[in-house]
Amino acid sequence: MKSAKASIQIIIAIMLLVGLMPLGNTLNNIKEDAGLADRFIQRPALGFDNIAADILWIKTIQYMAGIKKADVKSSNITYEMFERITDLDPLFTGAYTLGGLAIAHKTPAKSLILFDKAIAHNLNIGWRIPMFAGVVSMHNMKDYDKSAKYFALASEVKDSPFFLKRMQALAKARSGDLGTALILWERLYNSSDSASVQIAKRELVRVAAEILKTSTNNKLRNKADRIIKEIL
Amino acid sequence: MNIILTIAQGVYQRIIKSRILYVIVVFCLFAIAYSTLYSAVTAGEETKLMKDIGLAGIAVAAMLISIMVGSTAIPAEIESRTIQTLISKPVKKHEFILGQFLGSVYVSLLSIAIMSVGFIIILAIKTHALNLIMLKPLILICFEAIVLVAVSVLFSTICSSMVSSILAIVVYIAGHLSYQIPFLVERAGNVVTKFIGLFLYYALPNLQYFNVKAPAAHGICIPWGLVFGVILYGAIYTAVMLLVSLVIFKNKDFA
Repeated sequence: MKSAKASIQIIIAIMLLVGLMPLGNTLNNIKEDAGLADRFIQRPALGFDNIAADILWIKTIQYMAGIKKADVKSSNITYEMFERITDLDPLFTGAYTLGGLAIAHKTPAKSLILFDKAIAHNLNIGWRIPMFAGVVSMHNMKDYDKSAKYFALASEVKDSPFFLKRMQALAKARSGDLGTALILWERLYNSSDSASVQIAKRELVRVAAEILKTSTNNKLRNKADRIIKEIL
Repeated sequence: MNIILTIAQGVYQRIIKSRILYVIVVFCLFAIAYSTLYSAVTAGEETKLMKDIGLAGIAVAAMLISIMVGSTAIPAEIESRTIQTLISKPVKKHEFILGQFLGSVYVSLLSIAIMSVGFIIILAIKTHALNLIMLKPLILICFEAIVLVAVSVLFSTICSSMVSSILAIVVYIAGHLSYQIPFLVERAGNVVTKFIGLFLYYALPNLQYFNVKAPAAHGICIPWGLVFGVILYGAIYTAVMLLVSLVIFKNKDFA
């Protein structure tokens, strides 16, 4: 009788344990959907990853404060430190921002790696990090196409400032894609943002003139011609 | 039910006299308060750091207290021979186990509540706002503590308090790493290794479910669905541990 009761209890325990399997999968899915999924990282910190990230953050600040003259070597070390911080705490926006901007001058490619990581890991990243990535691509890398993509990403974020659209159009024009730049400036010219209208007017004329001077595409030339006539 | 509550009360009265409990709670509160002084070296991230230290401190303290009270509850009764008196009275063994468990859980939750109130107050003073978003990780820390108490009670039915404390700490560590097992199982070529890996994955508590400290510290909203799901997970796992404890304890002879 006693052993039968024990067996039933063991069976119930096993059944409950089996019942945890689908519940575990459901919890994993909820975590995944909420952007809180557990990652396979090399330095598991028993749930204290963010504390480890904080300690490394303080050490990195101390290291950066001690740099007398920034060079590629110190920039690489700083990058590695921020890479580790953001491995441990992928939601640490401050680390991406400071790290990305601190190394942008000497190692802009690595700066973009940090910004890309921020964009990939954070669902609600905001507009600042894509904007910084756009600025680094534009000024430090001279990669205007990439820059335009970052500014486009930043301008799509809710409540982002209007100047990001202007930056996107500017980057497009600098990348040589005058057709797209013309469309973007025209859109800004027709917008309700008064500051953008004035700038867009000036830029539209400049881009249209550039098209008339360099482009062989008749359709584009006609459009540029029409815009110039409309504005002036 | 009255017997269970009486035993739980006895456990509470015995544990509450322990000085180490107060040392852990005071040390945790001191660590949280001290974190406010870090602002000079955090480059504008002092609030995040404070939240991290607060939640981590409470989680560590909760783990230590849960394992300490859960592991010592039954061995203490055995060593002081009060168990023979209790068992000889009309106290059933399941009532004894549940009483020990509830008493230990009560002490753990009380300690967590004290630390949490202290943390919320210190955070409110620092940020001039009531950070109620911190409640969700704190609730999950409470349920993690309950699971750990259940695991410790299970071990304490088999071994001495010292050994069961060590085993419970091992489960705590393994429980926080178990989410990595599926990644390793995928890469394992051997069928036996895969089987053992999957068995461990489902048998060990996945304590990472209870860990939402990082998103909470970043102000990210944790869905209530996740919180309730994790609470359900914790409740089922606790029930399993208590059932197994009961089976083991019922076959024990204290004569």
